[in-house]
Amino acid sequence: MEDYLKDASKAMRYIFWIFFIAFMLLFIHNKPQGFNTIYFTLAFPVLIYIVYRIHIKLFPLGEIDFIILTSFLTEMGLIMIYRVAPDLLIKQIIWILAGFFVYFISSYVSKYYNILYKFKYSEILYLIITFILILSTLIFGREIGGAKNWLTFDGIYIQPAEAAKVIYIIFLAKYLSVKKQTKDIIILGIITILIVSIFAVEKDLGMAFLFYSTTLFLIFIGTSNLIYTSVGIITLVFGTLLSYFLFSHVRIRIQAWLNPWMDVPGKTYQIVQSLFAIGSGGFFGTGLGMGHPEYIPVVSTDFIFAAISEEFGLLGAISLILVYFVIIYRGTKVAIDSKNETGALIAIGLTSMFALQVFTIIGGVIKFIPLTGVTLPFVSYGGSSMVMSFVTLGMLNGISLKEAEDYEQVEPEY
Amino acid sequence: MNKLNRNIKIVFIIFSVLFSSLIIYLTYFQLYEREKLITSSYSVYNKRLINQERKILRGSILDRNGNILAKSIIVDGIQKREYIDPEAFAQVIGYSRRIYQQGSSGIENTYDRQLLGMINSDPMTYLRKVILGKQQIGDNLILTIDKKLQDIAYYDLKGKKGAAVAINPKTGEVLAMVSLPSYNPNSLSENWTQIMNSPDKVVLNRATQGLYPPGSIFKIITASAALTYKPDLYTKSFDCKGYTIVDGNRIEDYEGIAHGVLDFKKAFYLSCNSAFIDIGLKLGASNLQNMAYKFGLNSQIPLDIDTAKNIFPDIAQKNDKVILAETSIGQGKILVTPLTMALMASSVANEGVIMKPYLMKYVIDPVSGTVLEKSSPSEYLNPISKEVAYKIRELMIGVVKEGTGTSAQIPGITVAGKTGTAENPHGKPHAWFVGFAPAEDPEIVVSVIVENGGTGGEIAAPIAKDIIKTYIENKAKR
Repeated sequence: MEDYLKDASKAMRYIFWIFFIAFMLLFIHNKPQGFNTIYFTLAFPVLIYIVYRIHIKLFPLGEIDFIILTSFLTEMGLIMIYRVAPDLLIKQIIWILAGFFVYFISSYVSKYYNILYKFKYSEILYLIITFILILSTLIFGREIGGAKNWLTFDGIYIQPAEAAKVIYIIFLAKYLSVKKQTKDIIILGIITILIVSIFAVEKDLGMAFLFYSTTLFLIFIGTSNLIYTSVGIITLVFGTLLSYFLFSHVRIRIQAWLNPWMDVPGKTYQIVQSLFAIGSGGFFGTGLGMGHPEYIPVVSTDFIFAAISEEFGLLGAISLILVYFVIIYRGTKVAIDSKNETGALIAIGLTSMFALQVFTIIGGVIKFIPLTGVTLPFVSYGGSSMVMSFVTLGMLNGISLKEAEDYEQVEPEY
Repeated sequence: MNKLNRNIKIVFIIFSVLFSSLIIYLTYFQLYEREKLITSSYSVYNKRLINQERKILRGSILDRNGNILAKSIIVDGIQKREYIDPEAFAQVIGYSRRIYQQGSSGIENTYDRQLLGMINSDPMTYLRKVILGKQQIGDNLILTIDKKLQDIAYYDLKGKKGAAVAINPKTGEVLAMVSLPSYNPNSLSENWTQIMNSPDKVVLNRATQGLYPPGSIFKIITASAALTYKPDLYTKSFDCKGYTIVDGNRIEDYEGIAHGVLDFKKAFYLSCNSAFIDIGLKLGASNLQNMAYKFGLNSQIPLDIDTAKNIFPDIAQKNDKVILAETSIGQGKILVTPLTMALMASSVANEGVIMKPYLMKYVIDPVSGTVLEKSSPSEYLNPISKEVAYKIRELMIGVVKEGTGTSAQIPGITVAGKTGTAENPHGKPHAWFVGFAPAEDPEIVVSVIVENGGTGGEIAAPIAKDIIKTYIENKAKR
């Protein structure tokens, strides 16, 4: 236990060093506008240190890795955001603060996740909430960056789909742990296709893919039925082909992926600029402040990985991918350790959603797969994504805590 | 529960595969795709390179004797391109997108990467320079052109419309290439639209992209075909009444002058249409077309700068006597560039072989003087045999000595040539002259066209003579 904490505090020290060096460089390069920026910047390491101490205190058996890894990821995000859009720095730090706050809350809530299903048919309630969230943007939403997936209240932009991701998993886990009959799966299939269709109408292809694939993974895990799984895969392939012919925005994405050179000043501008950035980074990167990530469109959100690749190089990019991979590994571990099927399904469901999102956006900006606009969790600028990513890890932490504490309680009997 | 855990592990393995493939693909991208990306032509959309290029002092362009034709200077921290002798070289040197964002052309376009010093550095060094942000200098370009010849050609043609090309027949080096009317590239940024939209098409390089009917200089090809495929025609005699009637169509000689009875040589010296129509008809369409194709009249001449594709109608297919008759004397639907006609003459001058023309002699590192790139002579076409070339040369010597091209004579030097007066629907005929000297051992081939100038002998031949004379005089000085 103590060795473990030793390693953890060592990791935290590295994170502080990276932060101080990076921001000293950045402040020399790009003079801070006003003292607020400096105060908030200095507040960040204090914040993560407090969070780290509290976590150890409150959850001695919890997943301290989550705090270390998210500290690193949010710090990389802050560095890059200050680099390309200094005005957004303070807001992002506030979002991170809010994120850590909801992390603790969701840790407690999911530790007692059974209360989530206290009432009969409560999972149906979650499904209804999911639909309300997704449909809300269709009715009241604003179209930003080609997709209609935003709600706006007095200048605050909210992406309800981010919240829907977690709530949908809560529904799905319960549903699949009790309903495994063919007709149940068919009903689930219809629900999924409805959700995907709504996303398709909103032109939010990334979310459509995330919801569909996560459902498919969970059906496989929950039922072990290869027929359902194969039907799901075949439907995915056919659905993609169908939407290729039906929707021009799907067609453009796929064509841009196959041949990014067809219309560089127009349709493929984003992906080509992303590739130029990654290419000029090379193995070791141009160095912080030495590249031109500002040439990449929507760089602070969807394309932030390209900016990191440019200035931190292949090594920086790979280390980021590995950090995500460790989070996914820990999430999977939580699922495997969970003795309760619903708990395991929530854990692996959240992990799958997270993993697929990271894969979709990184794969998209490096042109490994067609580009769909989703955020890079913890790194991209944006409140909804930041808060819900913390909820995801908080819930994983809660489920892990429940198992650990159950284990400790039964231990004396041996 | 066991199955559940097994399934979770399977899903985790899938994620492991997905994430490893991201890492593998990124590594592959940096190892192989990256270099292609940075050096590809699409890099014009990469603002990083454009930014970097602004920091490179563009290389100079010099003539074969080291006279500076274009150089870049820094005025108030901004790079400026300066053209010395701007009008004479405007179309050949062209302009660069780096300086005038709207477009690029000519030598500035073709040798853009060399002028930016980008040829010998790998992308890694290149990017390191990007990071260091150092002011670099591009490489210098030495052209095959001789500024003296260029200037004399330009001043002789000033006030007219037309073009002149001079080539070394033994190597293919372009010694002069002018196109008029011209413009001043130094004022390109201020007068961009005016220059681009000028009704005289001043940016068009008439020497390589102007398409004209060849008129009588095409008789070189008709004669070559006759000597190659029907050698007995050389000993025939022809009766010229000042016009010929082919299938009921009357085709006249120039101003209807009747040359009377004359042999093959005289017909060539005097550029007799009636005789050459007779030769063409006896030769047949496919023979004539074959020879024209061998001279590259249906192709696009390769050169460092843009050239237009010559047009030669498919007369063999048509089997129409009137068309064949018109084609034999260079009228009809043939369209050629002045460069193509210079190459035609160079074949006669170089024992039948046409050397591939080129404008870039060397690319040199301005600091060390090292030659980084070098053009070397290579054969392009071989339309006629050495024997035929010698015979045509004799005919061309006769043209200047006692035929239509006497105004190209230079005392002490044997000049060979052929005049052309190409009828066209736009007014006075185009005046053509192609020739070379010294006829015994040709060093320079010249092709001149003056649009709507009049007769080739009166208008074009003296300009060619001036260019040749300047060449010979300068050679003597050296």
